[in-house]
Formats: sequence, C-alpha cells, structure tokens
Amino acid sequence: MLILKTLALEPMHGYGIGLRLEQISQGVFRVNAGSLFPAFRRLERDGLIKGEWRATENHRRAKYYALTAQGRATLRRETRQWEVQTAAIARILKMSTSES
Amino acid sequence: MIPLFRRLIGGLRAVFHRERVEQELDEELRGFLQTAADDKVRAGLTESAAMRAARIELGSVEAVKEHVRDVGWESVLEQLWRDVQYASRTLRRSRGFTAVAVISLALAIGFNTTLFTIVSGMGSTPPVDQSDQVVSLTSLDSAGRTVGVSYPDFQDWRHLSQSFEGLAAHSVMAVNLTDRDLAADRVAGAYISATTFSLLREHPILGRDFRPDDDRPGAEPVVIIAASVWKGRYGGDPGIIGRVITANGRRVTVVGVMRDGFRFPLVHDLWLPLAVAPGLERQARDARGLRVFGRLATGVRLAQAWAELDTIMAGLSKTYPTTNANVRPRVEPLTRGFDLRNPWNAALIAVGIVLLIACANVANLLLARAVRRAPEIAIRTSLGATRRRLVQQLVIESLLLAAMAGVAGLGAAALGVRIWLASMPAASWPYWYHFAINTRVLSYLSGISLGSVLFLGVGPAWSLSGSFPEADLSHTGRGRSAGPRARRWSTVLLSAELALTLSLLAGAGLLARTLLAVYRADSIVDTDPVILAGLDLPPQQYATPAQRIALYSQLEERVSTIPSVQATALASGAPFYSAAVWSVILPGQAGATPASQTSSYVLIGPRYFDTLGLRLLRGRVFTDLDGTPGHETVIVNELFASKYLAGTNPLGQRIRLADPTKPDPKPPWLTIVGVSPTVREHYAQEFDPVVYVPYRLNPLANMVLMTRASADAAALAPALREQFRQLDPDLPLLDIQPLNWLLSGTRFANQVFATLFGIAAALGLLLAAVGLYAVVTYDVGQRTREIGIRLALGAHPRQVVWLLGRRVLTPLAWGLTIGLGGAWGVGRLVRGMLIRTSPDDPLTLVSISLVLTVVALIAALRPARRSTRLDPVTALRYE
Repeated sequence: MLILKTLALEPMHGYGIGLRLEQISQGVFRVNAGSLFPAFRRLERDGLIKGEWRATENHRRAKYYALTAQGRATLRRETRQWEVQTAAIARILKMSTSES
Repeated sequence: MIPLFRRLIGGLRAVFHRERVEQELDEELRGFLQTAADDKVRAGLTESAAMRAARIELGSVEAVKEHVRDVGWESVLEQLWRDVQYASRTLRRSRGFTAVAVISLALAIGFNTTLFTIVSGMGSTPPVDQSDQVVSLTSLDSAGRTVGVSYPDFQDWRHLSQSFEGLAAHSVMAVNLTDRDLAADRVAGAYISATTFSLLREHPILGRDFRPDDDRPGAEPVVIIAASVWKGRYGGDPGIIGRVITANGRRVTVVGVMRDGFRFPLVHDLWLPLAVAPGLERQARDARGLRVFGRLATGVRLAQAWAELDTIMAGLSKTYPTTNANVRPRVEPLTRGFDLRNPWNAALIAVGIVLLIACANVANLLLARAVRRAPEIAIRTSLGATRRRLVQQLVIESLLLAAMAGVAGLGAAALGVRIWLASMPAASWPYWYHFAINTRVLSYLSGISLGSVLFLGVGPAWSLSGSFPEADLSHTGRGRSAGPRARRWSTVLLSAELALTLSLLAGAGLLARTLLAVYRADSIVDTDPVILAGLDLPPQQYATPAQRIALYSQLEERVSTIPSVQATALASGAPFYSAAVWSVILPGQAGATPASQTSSYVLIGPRYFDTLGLRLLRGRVFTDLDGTPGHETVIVNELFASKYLAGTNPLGQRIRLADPTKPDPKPPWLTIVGVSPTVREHYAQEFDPVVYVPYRLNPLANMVLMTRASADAAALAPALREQFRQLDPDLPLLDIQPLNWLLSGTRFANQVFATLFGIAAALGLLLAAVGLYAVVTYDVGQRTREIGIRLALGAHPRQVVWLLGRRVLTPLAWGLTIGLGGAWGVGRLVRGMLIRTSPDDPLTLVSISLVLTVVALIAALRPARRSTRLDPVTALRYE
C-alpha cells in the first residue's frame, strides 16, 4: 500500500520509491531492496502498477513504475480500510488506557 | 478472473522470454545500484567507496533476484526442472550409491507388487453383475458350525421368503461321460436350480437356459455344457443342441452351451437340474449338504433378508424340533464364502516388512550421504538458497530414486507373476481368478513407491537443512565425522532393520521346519511304486451296499492277478490328501462328546498297509472277514492311541464313530484290532488321529484303487483298464497317476509359503547386511586419519577392528531384543500353517538369532578389517 501511495503522485523508478518511502516516513521505514523488488514484481503481476523504461534525470535508463486505474482503486479502498482499522485500534487503546 | 489471467500471462512470458525478463531485472537492479551510488557521491563519498556502500546496502544481488523470481508461479516449475536435472546429475555421479539404493528398493517393490497381484487376483469377486446384491446362505448347526442347507429347508426358504429376487441351490459331483462313440471322460459338474444362471445374469451362448419345468422330478432329462466341453469333447458340433449324451450312465439331451470361462460354482463344466440329483427328494431335513445363494430383491439390504430368514428358521425349528432345533441361518456376501486369503495376508505382511527393511536401508545410505554433503548444502545456503528449496531438492532426489526403483520393480513384478503362474496348477483355481498386472496393481506399485519416498527422503532432508552454514563451511568436508544426531538416527534405522529381519527369519524358519516335519513324516510311506486310480460308481447300477462290496472284492482280486502287481487295495481316499472327519465316542462315554473329539475316517481294503509298504506297530491287519456282520473291527493310528487311549492297551478296546453330517442315534461298537504308524491324511493341516475302517462296513460309491507295482503308471494303466472293463465296460477308471504326484501336490501350499517367507527373509538379511556394511565402510572412510594415527602410535589391528566393529553391537542388541518380540508375533501370524511345529519353537529362535548375529558381524567386520591394512602414512595424508 505504501508503494502505491508513493506512486500516486507521479511515476517513479525503484530507487526513487525506496528513497521517497524513507523520506515520507521520516526514516521510520527503510525498505531493503530485497523486499522492494519482489513487491514490484508482485504488484505488476497483479496489474496494480505498470513498468516502463525511461531515461532518468541524469540520463540513465531506468524502469519507471506508474499506478494503473486498478491500482488507484485498490489504493483508495485499502486506504479507507486502513483508516477504519486504525481508528478502531485507537479507540480500543484509548479505552484500555482509561481503564488502567 | 482477470488478475488470474494476467498472472498466467506474466508467468508464461517469464518462461518463454526468460532471457529478456532476466535482463530487465538485471538492468533494473544495476540502475538501482548506480543511482544509489550517485546519491552517495553527491553526499561526498568517492566513486568506489560509494559503490561499495551501495552494494552493502543492497546485499547479495543474486539473493534479491531469487526473491523476485519467487514471486511468480512459473518459478516453481523452473526450480522443479532444475532440481530434477541437478538430482539426476548427483545420482549419476555417485553410481555405487544409486545402484545399491535402486536395486534394494526395486527388489522390495517388485516382491511386494508380485504378491499384491496374487492376493488381489484371489480376492477378486466372481464376475457377477451387481455382485453386491448376491449373497451366500448357509446354516449354523446346533454346535455353531457353518454347514450347508438341506433340500427341505431350501424349499421352505424359497417359498416363504420375500427378500429375494430368487434363491438357487447347487451341489457338485463328478460326471462320467460315456458316449458310445467316444472315449469315456470325466468332468466336474454341478446340480443346479433352474434359476441359477438367471440370478447370476449369465445366458447360454447356444440353446436355452434351464426352465422351471426341467427342475422337477420326472422331467425330460436335460443338460447344459460349458463351451470347453462342447469344443473339446464334441468337436464344436454345430448340432450340439438336441444331441443326446450319456452322463453318469443316463441319457440326457443337451439344451444349452455356456460361454468360455464360465465355470460356476468353481471349476465346473457341466450342469444338470437339481431335481435329478440322486436321492434328493427323499433327503432328510438335517442332511445339510447344499450350497445356496440368492439375489436380494431391489431395495432389500442383507440384514433385512437375514432377519427374515431367522424368523422362517425359528418357525421351522418349532415344526421340526428333531432336525432343526437351534439351527440358524447365516447370510453373507457371496465372495466371503470363497475367502482363501488368510495365509496370504501373512505373506503380504512379510513382503511389507521387506519393503520396510529396504526403506530403512536406503534411508541410512541417504543419511550417510547427507552428512557428507553438508558442505555443499552450506555453500548453497550461503548463496541464498532457502530452507524450503533445499528440502525440495533432497525430496526430489528421493523421488527420482523411487521412480527408478518403481520402474525396475515393475519389471521384477512382471517376472515374479510369470514365475508364479508357471509354478501353479491352473485348473485348481476358481474360474474368476486372474493374475495380471492391472491398473489396481499399478496404483499399488506407485503408492508404495511414493510411500517409500516419504519414509526415506523427508527425514534426512529436514535434519540436514537445519544445520548452520557457518559451522559447516569452516569444516570443509573430509575431516568431519557424522554428527551425533545423524549417528543416532543411523543406529535406530539399523536396529529396526535387524529386528524386522529377525521376524522374517522366524517366519521362514518355522515354515521350513513345518516342511521338514511333513517330509520326514511322509517318508515312512514307500510311495514310489504306488499308483492311484479313481473309481466313481453310478448310483443307479450299484444301489445297494452288497452290490458295491461284490464289485470291490472282485476288482481287488482281478487286479492282484496282474503280473507286475505286488499288492492292491481300495480306500475311500489316498493318504496325504483328504479324509472325512468323524466324531469319536470312547469306551465309557455316553452319547454327547466334545466337539473337538474327532478323527479322520478312512475306509480301506485288506491289503491297504501292504500296498503302502507300512507295518503295523501292534495287532493285525484286516482280512476279508473284517467288516462283515459280527466282525466290526477298526485299526487306529498311533496318534489316536496316544491321544484318546493313553496309558491303556488299545487292542481289544471298543469305540464308536459318528458321521457329523448324518447323525445316527446308535452307531455300532467297533473293536480295535491294530495300531498303525501315524500317516498324514490331509494336506496343509496338522496331523490328526485316524481310524481305518474296513470298506465292507460302509462301501461308498467313490473309491480310490491303490496298486503297488513294479511297472510305472503308463505301463500299468492298460492292464488296469482291461481288468476293469471285464467287470463293467461302462465304468471308466479316472486319474491314473503315481501316488508321488499327489503327494507333491499336497505339499504345494507348505512349499509356497515356506518359499515366500524364505525369499523374504533372505532379501531382508541381504539388505540388512548391505546396510551394516555400508555404515561401517562409511565410518572407516570418515575416520581414516584417526585410524592412521592409532596404527602409527602402535595400536594393534585387533583394537582398531574392535573400535569400528563395536559400532554394530548396539543395533545388533536392539535388533535381537525387538526382533524376538517380532518373531513371537510372526509365529502367531503363521500359526495356522504350522505342522508339528510350535510357533515359539526354541530351536528355530536360537538358530535364526545365531544366523543374524553371524551375518551382522561379518558384514560389519569385513570393512573394519580392511581398514587395518591401511598404510599409516597414506592414512595420515588422506585428505
């Protein structure tokens, strides 16, 4: 889901995605390449993102990943679910702290 | 649906455009590295330091790629294929190991499959349409024994029951075919109810089935014959329907021909209506000799039918208390009545044990190999192989082994079945037995092959892949010896192998002793010069006992005039094969006797013992006077005397004998005049007491003529036939054969099982020896350097042998202990097949333990001894 979110703004290449994740989360998530690339492959297979070879800002060739329409839908759905869940968890936590 | 489809396409693309996909991945990762390095350069690192840092961050590029590849389904296939290739390469590299593993598994699998083919051939059901609706009906008499059904009971069942579409009865007999223009011949035939064939859903291929009209006393006599008789005896005569033939002296019209291979009820080729069976109409309600089967009416279950018959029988026992009190019916599926499989189950267990031994053996070899391969595994682990992947690799190796063994085993089984068929007298099997490797057998074969993979592959694989790469990498190879865990496993496996082998040896030993006991006991009869001929009098012409006695005494007289004949006698049956069993009433006993107080009952002519070359132990043989009124005498065998008349002089004592199938309220007293040696009167059965009765007391219509002659059977036959023809030209002499043929036939079952267990035990022993040998050899290989040091330091070779050989003592001790328990179990299993042998025969148990110990020590000490011949210098450099 996080990868989908980073791609929601613009297409990006692998390193950029990793970097962006780290930046956005202010260093909380440092995603290893060993998890990142299999995730790309999986998302691509599921049709949520689409890879495309393009030149980078410093004139190298890199595979840019972009969100597909289906990916956008999934992102929206999962974000909503996540919000619902976190809200629920937060409520439970608050309740148990107020009890103790 | 769509995502699934897309995944499929993606996978296919990866398979077919593998290089491009790989290249892209490569490039992508390289780009990632570059960009990361660029970033670091921007942050102030030098180019090379940046590259290094980026690489460290990324970790192993290959591992990342492996992870990425793992995402799609196609990778599983690809890995599988690569693993198969890899496994076949490794197996090819260690040919010795592969050969031993495949051969031992193949032998065990082949042996198992052969036996399964045999047992499933015998367990097959008669080929009857909807055979689950067909049930066999018997009676349980007041003593709880299963007996047949009497004709009056059968008639009542048929008329009163509603649960059946129909009931049919049959009894079997030998039929003499004596057509004027053809040589006399005998076939096995059956009297059957007219409904029999239609209940079996069988139809004649020519002519018609019996009609209810045919199955009625006084009906026009008709017969249906098998295609084999039609083609064999009557040359496929197109006018066979309507032809009149002579069967048992009566002229009957052929109305039908049954298809080839149909030999109801077992191996019978000619059928007459039940109603013409002699004496049937007058048969007593307690003469329970008919076999009855029925087809359940639609929707009726077996239990319902049984309950209904129970009610009918309860009514009959009130109406006929003298004959039917406490007699109950019994209903069971048709096939149950023909179950011969019990001893075969014991044999199946035996070959199952062989398979277990083979598996334990191969597992042991795999374990030893696995320990040796630890460094290889360690390298693969550090290069990024996952644990699952490693286990998969090893399981595939076992699968490959099992597949090879399965194919080789199939070949072995095909050979085994052929040997079985060649050694079998085919005619003695019921007509539906077929021994062929069919799909059922093939699935059994695949089942046990796959089962053995699970048994041998998964365990070692799991224990292996749990090891730590760091530790294994630092010891490169040879210097390492098997870890304690592998060693313990190997000891467990060896103990199991030895224990199982001992159990098999017990079975083989006991059955071999049985066979020896039978041979020794039979050898007191001088069988070589004795020739048998069967005699079957048609009841119509020889209806009274006096007529039969007259014929028999004339026959004995005439045959003894043949120059080459030394002695001749008629008997109710030849020895070794089978005899009637009657109840015995001892002196001082009133009417009721224990059910187990029985004796074989053999009718004999005066010169019976001369003919067999036997001398009585006490008393005298019969004369022509014995058996006539006032001279009711018998001869008993030694076992009878010691079992029933122990401690007394049997001569002069009086006993009574009662035929259990025809209760006689007042059997005559019989005086014992002689005691004979104990001769076996049954096949594949424990020796029992025998009473020899003069045939004049009870002249049956079925007798055997035994002749002791200096000529062989072929030379004697024409002379015998000629004497016979002069007495009665219509009577054929049947089955003229030497007694030796019959004798070897009666030992066949003992031989088959002794041989099967013998092969199983020999295979087990061989496999266990190979297992031990391999383990010790492997040990020697592992400890070469140690041995070298010890020898260099002056160790005596014997000490070294002991050091290595003692490895075998623990499994041997365990194997003997557990194996003796197993031997006890096997003794119980084969108990029914033992003759004159106790299932815990101490001599057998001691000798098989010795055999196992000696073989185990030889297998273990040979490689150990070889190690001491090592040159210490070579051994030390061995690395």
